[in-house]
Amino acid sequence: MSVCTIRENSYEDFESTLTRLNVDGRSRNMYLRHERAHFEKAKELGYTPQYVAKLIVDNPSIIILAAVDFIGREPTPSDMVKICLAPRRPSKEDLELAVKNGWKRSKR
Amino acid sequence: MIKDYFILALRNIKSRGIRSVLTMLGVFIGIAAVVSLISLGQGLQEAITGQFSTLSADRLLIQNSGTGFGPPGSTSVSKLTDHDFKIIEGVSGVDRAIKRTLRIGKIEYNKVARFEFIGSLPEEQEDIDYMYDTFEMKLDSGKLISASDSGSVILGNDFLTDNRYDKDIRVGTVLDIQGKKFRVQGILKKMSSFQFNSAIFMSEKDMKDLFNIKDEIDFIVVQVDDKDNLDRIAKDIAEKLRRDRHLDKGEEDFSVETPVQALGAVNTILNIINIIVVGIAAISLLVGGIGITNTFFTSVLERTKEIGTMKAVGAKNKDILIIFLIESALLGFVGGIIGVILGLGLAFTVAGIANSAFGDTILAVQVSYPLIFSALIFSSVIGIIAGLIPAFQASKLKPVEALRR
Repeated sequence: MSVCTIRENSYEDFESTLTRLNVDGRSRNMYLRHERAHFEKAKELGYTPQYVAKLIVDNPSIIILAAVDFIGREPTPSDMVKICLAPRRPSKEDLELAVKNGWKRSKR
Repeated sequence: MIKDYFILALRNIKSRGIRSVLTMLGVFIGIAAVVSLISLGQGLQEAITGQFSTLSADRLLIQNSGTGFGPPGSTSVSKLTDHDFKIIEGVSGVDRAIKRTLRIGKIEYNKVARFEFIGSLPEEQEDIDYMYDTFEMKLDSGKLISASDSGSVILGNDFLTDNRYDKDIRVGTVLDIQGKKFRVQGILKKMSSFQFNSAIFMSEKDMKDLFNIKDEIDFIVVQVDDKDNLDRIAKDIAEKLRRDRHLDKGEEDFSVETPVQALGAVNTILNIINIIVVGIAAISLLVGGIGITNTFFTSVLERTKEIGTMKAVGAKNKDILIIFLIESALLGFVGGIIGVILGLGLAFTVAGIANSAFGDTILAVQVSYPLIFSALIFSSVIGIIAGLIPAFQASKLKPVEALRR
């Protein structure tokens, strides 16, 4: 029943904290891979990103939300689109945020 | 007369030695299964209820629920904030609302670094007192934190007992939490919730400074003015938050929980498990009963001459019937006693293993005297029912025919 939030400034710390909190390996890797793409893109564009996860701490712990947050300067809409679309498979929420920031979905 | 019946029945059981024990096997396995599983089941129910002890019928828990992959920056959108808190406070029927934040922080002491739960205490002294009171946070040593305290923490009881930093932690010990020094001001007594036992508590202000929390709340505990209105208030809070966040029903990024409902669901599951367990044990008892019947049929055949002799010297049908019934009831009763002892032994062993594995007294065996009493009565009745037909058959034997065989 306990929900806790963790914030980490590097991939290594994020990975280590999720491991210590006993998050199931498969779901941990899935979140790590996805959020790392956002994180690296944000860093590349000159922002200060931070890994954030909300978990239900249990055995194993369950991630209910993972995202990257920004310390200080918020990305411009065009940069936000790039950050949103950085993962190989952006999530539904990533795509919605990208659209909100002016990205137009290409029609096949 | 009855005493003679008992002596005779006991002698017969004893003379059959290993066969009596094997006959009782089915009964005592069944009884042992019932006693151990129900005792553990009740203990498990207590343990689970204990985890919900921080919640009661007049409280609601509002927390943020995420969507798995949050888009970049999403944590600044979907978290609970002071704005949400004010909305909740304004809902009719809300008597008190308390903000709580919970983080996992790095603690260093005696060159050992660990990650621990850190919970905030409310800002207002009145709310702090309410929290101490309703969550039954009592001190083992030291002093509780008040609204004006800063730079100090109170610890759950596990810090006192499990030597997790390879060195005793006492009141006055200074811990390095996320790079800042905090003095241990108090250590709590053991609580039924293991989350409290392993947590560190500090003031809301210290927590916000330490983790750089600006406007973020992890969960809000709401006490309602009348528990009968709990569902209505939960719906109102959800409706107001939805409206404020421009969300449709089903799109909520928050949850309003009525913990007692959750507890009710857990209890239903436990009751179903108990029913299944008792069902399995009943099959074992049925097999045990058939074993007793079988033994007594054989016994009637083996003791035909003995029955004939008893009848020849004046024993009536009723006497033979009673002797056989006492024997079968005794077999059931003794089987029941062994079953109860084995069952309780098994329950204590399992609980001991579980507790040492979890490093806590989370699972306690509930010894229920009505259960033991019922189990003994039940096993005796099984014995009597199982012995009824063979005893009746024995009582109907004609003395002359019995002696001729």
